[in-house]
Amino acid sequence: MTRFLIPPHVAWVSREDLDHGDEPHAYIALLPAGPSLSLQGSACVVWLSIQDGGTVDEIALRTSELAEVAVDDVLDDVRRLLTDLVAAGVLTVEHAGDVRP
Amino acid sequence: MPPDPGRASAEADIPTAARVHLAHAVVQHLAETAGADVLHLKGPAIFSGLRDPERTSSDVDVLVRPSHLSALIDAMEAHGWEARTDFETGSPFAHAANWWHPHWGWADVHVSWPGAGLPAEEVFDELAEAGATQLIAHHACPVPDRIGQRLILLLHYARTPRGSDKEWAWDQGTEAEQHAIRALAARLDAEVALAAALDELHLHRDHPDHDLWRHFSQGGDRVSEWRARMTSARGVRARVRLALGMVRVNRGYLAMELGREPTRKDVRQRQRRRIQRAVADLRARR
Repeated sequence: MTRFLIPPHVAWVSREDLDHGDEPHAYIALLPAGPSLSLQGSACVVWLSIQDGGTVDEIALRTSELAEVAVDDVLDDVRRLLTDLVAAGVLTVEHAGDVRP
Repeated sequence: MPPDPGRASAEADIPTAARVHLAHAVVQHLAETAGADVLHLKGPAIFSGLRDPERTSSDVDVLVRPSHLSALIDAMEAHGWEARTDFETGSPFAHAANWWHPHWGWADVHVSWPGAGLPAEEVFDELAEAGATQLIAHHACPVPDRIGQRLILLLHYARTPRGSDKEWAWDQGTEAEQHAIRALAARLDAEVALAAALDELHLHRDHPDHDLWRHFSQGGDRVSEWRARMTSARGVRARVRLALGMVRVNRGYLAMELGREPTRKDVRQRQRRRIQRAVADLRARR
């Protein structure tokens, strides 16, 4: 089973921390030198669903609850975004059997 | 999915508030990597209820343990931070210098906090003792506890008496909190500066720092500032350094102002202007 996690060398803020703006928005940075990444709208909703880590299905479920839509409607988009975020280095992947530090 | 498709963009044009949060986490990460003790001050480091929530910050302020300064600076400069001012010329108190990073913006690194007379290493120990942290950009950043934060804000207010810091840090505090702030100020030898913030300077008329804090809290010309600083300076070496500082031009600030590295001619012109201003102040006093 594959789990996605936000690694310790990533910092991020969302609209809740900044308390402004009118749509979900998260700013994510690789420490210590960048680059930074901006997630808006539903991409930010997915990010907020990742913060405690989880499998694709768990993250898709949380996203669907936050967005108030069916899981099947979000699963493919969530899977694609997770792949992009792993490629960008702001998510790590933990496979079943991996030992957490 | 919600109606909008969601957007992700790299190298984001980050709003100032978000950038400052991320920059605190960056500096904390570098400090941990370098083994440098720091305390995050002001802006998002302040606990809720101690500052006007509408007030925003445009840079990072950290207090570094003085003996760890070079470790922190080495780590910052190894990761793209550039020194823009030095400690001698960065402020009238020679307590801070500014660094710039193209992604993260400005960071003010402080080795001491103006107003506290105790040796800076001991001030750091006292402020760090509670082991308080504030989560900034989802990173635990060490900060002074609530009483320490209130005192930091008040000492800052003593030299820049603008805004609502006194109202939030002092007026809205309970009697017990105000008592604790005074007790901490006594331990840090910061009673005169605190008195300046609280409009109680008349209680310290005979203290060598009295005139200095009257100048910063109530204003005055350059001549009264230098006279007050000379009175406040402890020892011959401190006074000689101060006298040299009177004519020294801050090359970092001049570079920022000109938008380029200043030439020797620029520096000479600025020195002449400083001297002319001092002479004008003296004439105006006659």
